[in-house]
Amino acid sequence: MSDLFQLFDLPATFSIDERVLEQRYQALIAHCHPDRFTAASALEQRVAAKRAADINDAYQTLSHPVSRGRYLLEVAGVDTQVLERQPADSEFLFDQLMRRERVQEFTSLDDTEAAELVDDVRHQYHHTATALGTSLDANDVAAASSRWVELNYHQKLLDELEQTLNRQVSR
Amino acid sequence: MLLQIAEPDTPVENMRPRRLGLGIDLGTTNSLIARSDGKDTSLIAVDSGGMLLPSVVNYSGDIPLVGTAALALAVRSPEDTVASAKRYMGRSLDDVPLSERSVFSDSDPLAFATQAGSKTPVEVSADLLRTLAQSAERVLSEKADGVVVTVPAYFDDSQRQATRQAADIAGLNVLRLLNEPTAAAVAYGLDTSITESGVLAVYDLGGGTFDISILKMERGLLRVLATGGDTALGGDDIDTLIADWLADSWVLDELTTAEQRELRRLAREAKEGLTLADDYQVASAVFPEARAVTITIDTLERIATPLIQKTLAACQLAVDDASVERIDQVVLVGGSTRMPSVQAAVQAFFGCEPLCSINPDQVVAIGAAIQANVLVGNGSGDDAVLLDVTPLSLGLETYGGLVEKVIPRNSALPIAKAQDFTTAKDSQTGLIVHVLQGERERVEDCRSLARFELSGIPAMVAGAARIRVSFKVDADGLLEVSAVEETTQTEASLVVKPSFGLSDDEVADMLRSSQEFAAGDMTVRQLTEARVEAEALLDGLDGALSADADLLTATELDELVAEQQRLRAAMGTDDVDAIRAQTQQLGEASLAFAERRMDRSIKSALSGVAIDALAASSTD
Amino acid sequence: MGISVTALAAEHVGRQLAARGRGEGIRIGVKTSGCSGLAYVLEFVDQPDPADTLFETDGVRVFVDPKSLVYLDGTVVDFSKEGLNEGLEFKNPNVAGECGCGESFTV
Repeated sequence: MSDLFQLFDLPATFSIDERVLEQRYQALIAHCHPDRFTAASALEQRVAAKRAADINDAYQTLSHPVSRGRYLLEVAGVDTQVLERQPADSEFLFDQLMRRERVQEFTSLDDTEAAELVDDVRHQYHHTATALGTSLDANDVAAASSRWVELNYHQKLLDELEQTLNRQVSR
Repeated sequence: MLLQIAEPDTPVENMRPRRLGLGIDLGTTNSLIARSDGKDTSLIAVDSGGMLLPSVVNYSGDIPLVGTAALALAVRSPEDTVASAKRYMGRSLDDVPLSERSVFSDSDPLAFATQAGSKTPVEVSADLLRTLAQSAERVLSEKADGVVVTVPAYFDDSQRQATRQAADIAGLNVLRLLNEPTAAAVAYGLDTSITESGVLAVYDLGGGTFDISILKMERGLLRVLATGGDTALGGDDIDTLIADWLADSWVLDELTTAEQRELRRLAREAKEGLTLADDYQVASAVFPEARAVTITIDTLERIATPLIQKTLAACQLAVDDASVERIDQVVLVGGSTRMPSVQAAVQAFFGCEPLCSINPDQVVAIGAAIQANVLVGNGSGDDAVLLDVTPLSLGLETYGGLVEKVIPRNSALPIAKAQDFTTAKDSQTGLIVHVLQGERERVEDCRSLARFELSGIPAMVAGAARIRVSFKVDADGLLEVSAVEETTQTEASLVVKPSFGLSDDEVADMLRSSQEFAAGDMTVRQLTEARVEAEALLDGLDGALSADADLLTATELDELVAEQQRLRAAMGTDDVDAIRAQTQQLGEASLAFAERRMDRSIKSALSGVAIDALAASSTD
Repeated sequence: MGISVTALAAEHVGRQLAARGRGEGIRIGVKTSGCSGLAYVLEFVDQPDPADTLFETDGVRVFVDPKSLVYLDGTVVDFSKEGLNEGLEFKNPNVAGECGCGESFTV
């Protein structure tokens, strides 16, 4: 796999300016999209489609902290599929279990409790993402691996919570 | 509005001859065709009834009758009259609810039983597309160079492939399958009028399908962030509910097919009447014993509310998926959005007044025509790029009947992804690749797109083989899957065809018979096509060499020029195979050059943004 | 009734024709387009059509095709400035409604 960061002319670090990534992605995909090549020869169409696919794939990978972390860990030689199958730290799992229960009973919480829970889940996610970035950028692969596994859990919980929140707003 | 004096229209407006691109909205209930010249866009009346061609084909006679003519025969020969074929595109008999199965023959692929024999939904759609295109060409006295056909954003791969097949059978050159909501946004010019950025929702309640899409417009890029909806929910269902209400009011049961159609006609009239007034009186000569009843807007709202709520629930899912904070514009598409209760519900849900100044029945065809004009080669070069996404996740069956997702839903297109697998047993020489589409975890809850076997894997111990399965989805959303055992380069691949669709040979046969090519014509056509392709390659390469020859070494340059000469020599003959072979060879020889040029142009595209990005961050 | 051109508009058209270096006058007309149905046509005329009706004010010749005249009869062509933009404005007594973008109208 070629260096995904290089495609966007960005340094290969976890901490990137996501807005710059997005702007560069937009410029690149607008440039390479097959619709720009409908009048070109079949060869040029094929080359453009391939590059457009690469760009979409790279953007998808780099724009989300979990997949960006996975990519950087893979580059550092970590098999993330193996990592996913390893059990997380039991204390962390217990904490996470408690939060999950709170999220599931979200609708029965009063306003203050609900706001606290939302803050807590979001804070944990961002905190872990930042810690993952620090470890990755310091080449501490072991610590980064643990943070990445935790970030996966936080992400799932965050998704669940956001969905609950959205449903509440629409009601 | 201040007007400027323009130059008079002269035929030689451009150095390059303008080409004709047509936009087609292939709808469940009605279909439309439109053209655009970049400034003006107009619908083309192709049916005695006007702009809307009823998506109905009658197969009672020697030749299929399409549109209003078919509708007229529907009462006399309902069994031979096929409507709503779009609902069954890319589907098998198992997918069809029991109550609707009577019109189909028992055999696969799924086909309507008519006097003229079994007609698959693909063939019915092809008859509609052919009628639209041929009539439009007659009206314009001009051949179309290409068409854009719209599909619901929610259409899965089978349904898109089926639509594509229908266009192939109709003999059309498809520039692009365009998602209906994207077309609607283009019709409103939202792809060009939003200069900064904006989030749009397109709420499309058509006759037979409901679609909700969230799009983001930013810097010349119109991107679908999320799509959702229901391929089996639409205005027809409201008609059914009203028809049921009428049948209840009149205490009718045991209706004949003709009576059912009459009841639905009355229901549709009532629905349309209620967009203009608060109550509507229904009476019919077909049911003389039934007294006239008045249906009020409140009754309609009560009847339709569960359905509207269902659409709003889908809207919520799409908004969740898109992770957007607010919606700046809402576009209404589909005749059913004329219902005041729908408009009110949509406005309340999204918190902004929906755009509805363009006729909601025509807006998709208009957008398709605008895009067809750009894609056919009349664009200005700075037109917005319409970036579509996969509506559903694509994946593979893995151990234990589970689905492993390879391409998640809402991935921007085109996209290519690969997944590595290995053998589970010692000396395993084959592997079944089962391709699925859907969000659920279990195989039986997803749609099976294709199943093929990678065979001839050399015997190895379990886990030693490295099998890479690659998924490629093109800009039209069409999937191609291939599998390679990497240690030995054993290969297998296929373009995913709808499981219950038509084979390539069947499509080719239909195309031939539909165009009634004599064998001689076919050869001439093939020769012309081969020459056109060869010329495009040669011209493109000439341009590339004059711009970027410095990307080649002297040897590479010599080699390319020699290949070019060989192709030119082949073109001097009438040998189709030689032209094709030489085109292929030149293509391969210039692939690396084309890639280097693309990379160079990518770098230049980036250097522009690098400065923008700096400027943007410094203003915060 | 016919078509009339204000003095300011005539001056503007004269300037534009002079800058262009050729042309018999201007053509005004209507064509079907846009969301409300009809849109104005305003262009230079190099070759008048024999079927055109000709109106002349202050030396400016305005050509109108018979089909358009039905929708344009009584129209006053005026010149106007809005901020940095300047251009001609049609005051058409036949217009029943204009669409939001101002580009098309119904009669």
